Amino acid sequence: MKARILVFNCGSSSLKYKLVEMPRGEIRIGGEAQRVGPPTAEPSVIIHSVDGIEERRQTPLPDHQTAFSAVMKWLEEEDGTEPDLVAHRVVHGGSVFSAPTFIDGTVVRSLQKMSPLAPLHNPPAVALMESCYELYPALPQVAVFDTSFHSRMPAYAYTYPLAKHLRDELHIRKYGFHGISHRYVVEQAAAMMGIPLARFSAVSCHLGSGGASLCAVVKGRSVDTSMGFSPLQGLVMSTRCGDLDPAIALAFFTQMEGAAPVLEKFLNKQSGVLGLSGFSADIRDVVASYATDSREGERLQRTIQIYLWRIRKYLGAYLAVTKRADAVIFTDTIGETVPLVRLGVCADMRHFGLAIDPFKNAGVESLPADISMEGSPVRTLVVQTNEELAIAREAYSLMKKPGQNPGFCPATDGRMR
Amino acid sequence: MVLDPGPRVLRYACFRMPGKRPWLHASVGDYRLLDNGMHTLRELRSKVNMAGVGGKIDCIGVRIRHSGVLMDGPAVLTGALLDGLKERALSAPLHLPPLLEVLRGCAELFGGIPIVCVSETAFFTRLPERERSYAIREDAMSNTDLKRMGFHGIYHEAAYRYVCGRGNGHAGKRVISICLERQPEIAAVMNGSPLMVTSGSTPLEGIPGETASGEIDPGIVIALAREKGWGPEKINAVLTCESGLGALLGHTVTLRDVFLSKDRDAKFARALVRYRMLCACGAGIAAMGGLDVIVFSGRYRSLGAVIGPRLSKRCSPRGAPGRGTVAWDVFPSTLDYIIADVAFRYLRLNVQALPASLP
Repeated sequence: MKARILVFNCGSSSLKYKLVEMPRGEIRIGGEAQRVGPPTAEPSVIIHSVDGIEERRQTPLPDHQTAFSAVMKWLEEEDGTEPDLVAHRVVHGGSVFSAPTFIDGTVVRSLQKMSPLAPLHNPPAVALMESCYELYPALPQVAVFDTSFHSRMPAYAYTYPLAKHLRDELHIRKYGFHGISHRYVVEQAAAMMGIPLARFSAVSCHLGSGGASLCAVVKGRSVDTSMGFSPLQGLVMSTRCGDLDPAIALAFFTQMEGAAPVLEKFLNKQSGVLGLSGFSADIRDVVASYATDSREGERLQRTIQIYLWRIRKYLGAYLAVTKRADAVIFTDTIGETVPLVRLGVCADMRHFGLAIDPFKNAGVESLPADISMEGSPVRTLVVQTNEELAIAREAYSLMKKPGQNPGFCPATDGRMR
Repeated sequence: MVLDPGPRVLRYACFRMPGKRPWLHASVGDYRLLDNGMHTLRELRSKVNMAGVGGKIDCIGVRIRHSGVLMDGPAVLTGALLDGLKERALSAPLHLPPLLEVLRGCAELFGGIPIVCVSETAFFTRLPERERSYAIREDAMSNTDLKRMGFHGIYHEAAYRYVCGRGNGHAGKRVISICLERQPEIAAVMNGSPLMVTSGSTPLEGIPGETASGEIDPGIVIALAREKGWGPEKINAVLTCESGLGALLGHTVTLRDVFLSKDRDAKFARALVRYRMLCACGAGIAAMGGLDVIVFSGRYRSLGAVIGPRLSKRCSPRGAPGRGTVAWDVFPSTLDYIIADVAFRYLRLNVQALPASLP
């Protein structure tokens, strides 16, 4: 069965899209609406790409609905681009959604209830689903969740030792994020090594230029991940602090006179690489500039050390958890393109059977790549992530399931609201 | 004589070194109620003098629970040290004020006897910067108290020396030290210095304790503030006193209960603690680039026999043929004895370190 799936990846101020031809997974058309929301110093723009040729259109994009309409109009200008299905990346599925699901009124209402768990990401995604329904009511929609890959973690890994009534009332548990990407690269790596997914164990390192997380995978399933209840926990990220003594968060909270939004902004937007370097939120900038013999250079070196150290600690923890990992996988912007990070993270890990070849690491030209030392029992792989393709695959699998897609009629209760 | 002044309880023990059995030891509850603890110290002096079998006191070793970066090893009490601790009183408001009272009282009542301060945090002043630091804006972190440190340094350092001195080839090697106290703490120690520790800027971070949550997502603090409307004090009380293993079981519990009980909830709590310990050990191995031995210490050190075999198996090296299972060991000493031993050795090495006259 052929299907054309339009994948939307809705950020707080952006809307990425790709049109994927399934089952081949071919992507001809894609793009991104940037600066969605209130006016900023730069104008809003849609960058649209067909067969690798980019075109830009400046247009006011006050909300995601407008951005969505503009994208759809642009798509309609091309022949043969009408989607059969729209698939949305949803950051947080809470403990309700452990698999992709067709979107109907019940799903939308459930997602709205979950908004406090992902206040920046879930509301625009839900608004987009509603816009899509209003403008194209016959078009089926599927939600694919970033949390669902982690939904089968063992309870001892996802439980925080807090009072049960608190955990129940506020739905406090480890959810984990980047699940779509982790799942995709793990499947790619297993196929690359010729190991059936059900027997494949690995540590997946999704190192983005913004968010980053590690995931321990045993027998193809996520058993732990470094992000937790929120995306704040875990590694040092571009502007997020990662792991932090709760008492320090409380000390800042006291300094900020109990203003939770100020604390949230401080830990989410002003910390991490940006907070440490005082220079850039992107570790690539820091890596490119640290080699100066100055106080600033020392600060940047310190930033890199802290950034790498945290990843190393999590990698060690998850290699112990997976017991006999087949591979360590690096992916996303930093994981794919910064050899220094891969080397710093994997150096001196022979205890776990992991040895990286510095020459192969430095010479990666195309992906996927195996950068392991000859004979290393744990392979080190660099795999390009493709979240949109992964979303399309998951949505397509759902479409094909018997009884899951009765006549492309997603809004089973006849309304979205 | 060893003194361990806590917020409510003063523990004391007297040893005739190098003997390991105390000839006098006890705890006094609510010792500060009368005369800021002076009354208790006077009674203690009388008891020691009357005990007869013990003879005179040559040295007083005092446990310092939190000295931040002020002390990097044992030190004889001087006016400068006392002033330094006084300046830090606000950073450990539960522990330092009673300690200061006891130190002043000892100086007054046991004049002429050297007082050696043995700090729990001194060992961790050697933590590398990359481990000590959080990814927080530099200006906000200028307060050094916001850096990571451990809180069972006395046990870790002594346990490390113990395994290195066992003559089984661990000298200068890579050691994971697991201190099984009410809030367990794991440190990776190599060449005598710590490279990693599970506790944070306070003991709240790390492995879950009997009543403390251990490491949680900082987003939970924000959620508790936003959804419950709680302020910092309430959140701190919940995380410190109403969480941890007790919260998992729904009642007061000790680490020993959790590991020895057959109760279903205890089994789950046990799995959770074991899992967090495994993760911490993995992180420690990564920090040191390998592992030679795991050592258990602390009041629940005997649980090492329950935890050690499986943990050492999971932490064993992989890949090269002939690389066996990592060894594990239990460090048998009590905290009182370790402090006595540290004070005793310190004085022997620093015979010129006379007690200064205190202000």
